[in-house]
Order: sequence, then C-alpha cells, then structure tokens
Amino acid sequence: MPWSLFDRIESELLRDPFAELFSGFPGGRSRRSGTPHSVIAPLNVRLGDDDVIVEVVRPGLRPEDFEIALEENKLRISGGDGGPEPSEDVRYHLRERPRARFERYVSLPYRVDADRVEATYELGVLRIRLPRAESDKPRTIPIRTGTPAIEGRAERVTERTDAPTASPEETSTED
Amino acid sequence: METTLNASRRNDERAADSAPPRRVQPRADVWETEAAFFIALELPGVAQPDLTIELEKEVLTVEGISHTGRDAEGYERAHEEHASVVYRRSFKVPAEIRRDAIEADLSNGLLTLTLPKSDDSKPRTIPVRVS
Repeated sequence: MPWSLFDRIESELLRDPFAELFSGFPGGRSRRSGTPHSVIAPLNVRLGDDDVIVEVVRPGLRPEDFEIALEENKLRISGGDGGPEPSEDVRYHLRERPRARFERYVSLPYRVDADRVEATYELGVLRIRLPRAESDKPRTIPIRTGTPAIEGRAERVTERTDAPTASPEETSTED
Repeated sequence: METTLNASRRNDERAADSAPPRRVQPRADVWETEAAFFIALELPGVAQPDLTIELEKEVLTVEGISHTGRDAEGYERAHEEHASVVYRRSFKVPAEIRRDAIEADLSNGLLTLTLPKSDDSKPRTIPVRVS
C-alpha cells in the first residue's frame, strides 16, 4: 500500500549507451548479462513514527556530487556522473558503470523539520534522515467525561491550519 | 490505519530476515593503460571486513556482502529497491600481470583493482624503415 506514496520519475532509466560496446576482458568471460540494477540510483525509504530515512544507492561519487532539495513535503535528490572521463591513453574493455546524471523524487508522508535534516554518504550510500516536524505530529486530545459524551478516535487530529497535502493513500485502504 | 501499518511492518521484516541474501553481479568497468589493467566494481554498502578478493590461477574473484538499511529496526520498509545482497563476480585475468603487485582500494562503495603489467609485456616501439 505505501508504495504509491512515492513518485518514481526516473530520468535515470537511460542505460549507458556505451556499455554494450565493450564486452569481455582480454580472453575473459565477463559479460554484461546479469548486471543487477536497471536503475542508476536505487532508492530505499524507511518510515518511522518520528522520522523518514531515505537511502540512495550510488557508489563512486563524492558527497559534493549530490544535491538534495526539499520543497514542502517533496524531496528531490540528484547526482553527478560516474567520475572524471579517463584520458586518451586508456582502452576500455568493459564499461558498465553509469555516467548519466540521475534524479529521484520522494513524496514524504508528513511534514519534516528542514533545519534538522541530516545527510551522510558512506560506502556509496547516501542516507538522508528527515525528522518529522513537531507541528505535524499527531496529538492526543483528552476527552472529559461527565458532560455530553464525545466519541471517536483522536490520534489523527493535528494542529494544521492549511489543507493537508497528504496523498489519498494515507487515508484509504484500511483492512 | 496505525495498526494496519504496524502489522505490515512486522511481516515485511520477517520476510526480509528469513530470505537468504540475493546474489548479484556488480557493475564493472575494465580498462587498460600501458602500465596496468584496472577493474572498478560497484559495491555499495560493502564494508572492508565483508569483502574478499581471491586470485586463483588466472581467475580473480571478488565477493562482498552489502547491508543497506541494516539499522532500520522499528521502521517500516515503505519502499525498497536495494536490499541486502551478496555481490560476486569473477574475471579471467591476462597472463602478463604481476600477480604479487595487485592493489585494491575501496572507497565510497567503489572497489578499484590495479593489476600492473609485467615489464616484458609492455609495448615496445618498433622503428619502421621507409624504403
């Protein structure tokens, strides 16, 4: 169900056009077949009660090759190419690593505190932690007894004054 | 709503923990200069202790265990395109490399192997006489 929360606008599905030209190490057996990911930068999203963790798997870059932008509850992550082009004295036998830029979007299920967003790049994995905004956290409204009975679940009531931007998936498909 | 989410979270975790890690072939670049062959392998999420490189006869094998989202306990796996995998790939290396001088560097999820060529395999310039 939560899968539909996340846009997958993938300009990155373009494969490296040169990859097919270079197959086989000298006298070797390596081929392109079986290469795991069709996407350049696979994405993981972990949803917690207090924060969201977004992982973008893209090895061989430097931290400064990534760009992270947050607008409302939309996160955009883009990244640079696969490093400097080699000099002319180089002969390629196999070239599978993607050079294209990538861009990924995540629609966050709740508002986040932009000032407390943290990002690290380790082992080729960009990891972004986005804490949920305090003002967005569900509040429990105490119900007084004695006076005319008030019924209902209060845990989803929030203080937001603007229209909720949440996607319909948040409120539907209850089993 | 809340309980539905929690139930599915537990199911997801159980499924992911019991399944053996998928074995996949990492992307590679292989290139050659006058002095050496180079192999660059994409091994995201592989830490140095989880990486083995073996050269047996003429077959070089790299294997690494990748853990992404390892410390995601208590989180719902809302979207997953890169789970824990075992990366494994073998290359047949040319005979003219110096086997004792192979170097490996792992940085930012990219393993770069340098396989220096032996001296007598380096190209020589042969003068051509013009008649």
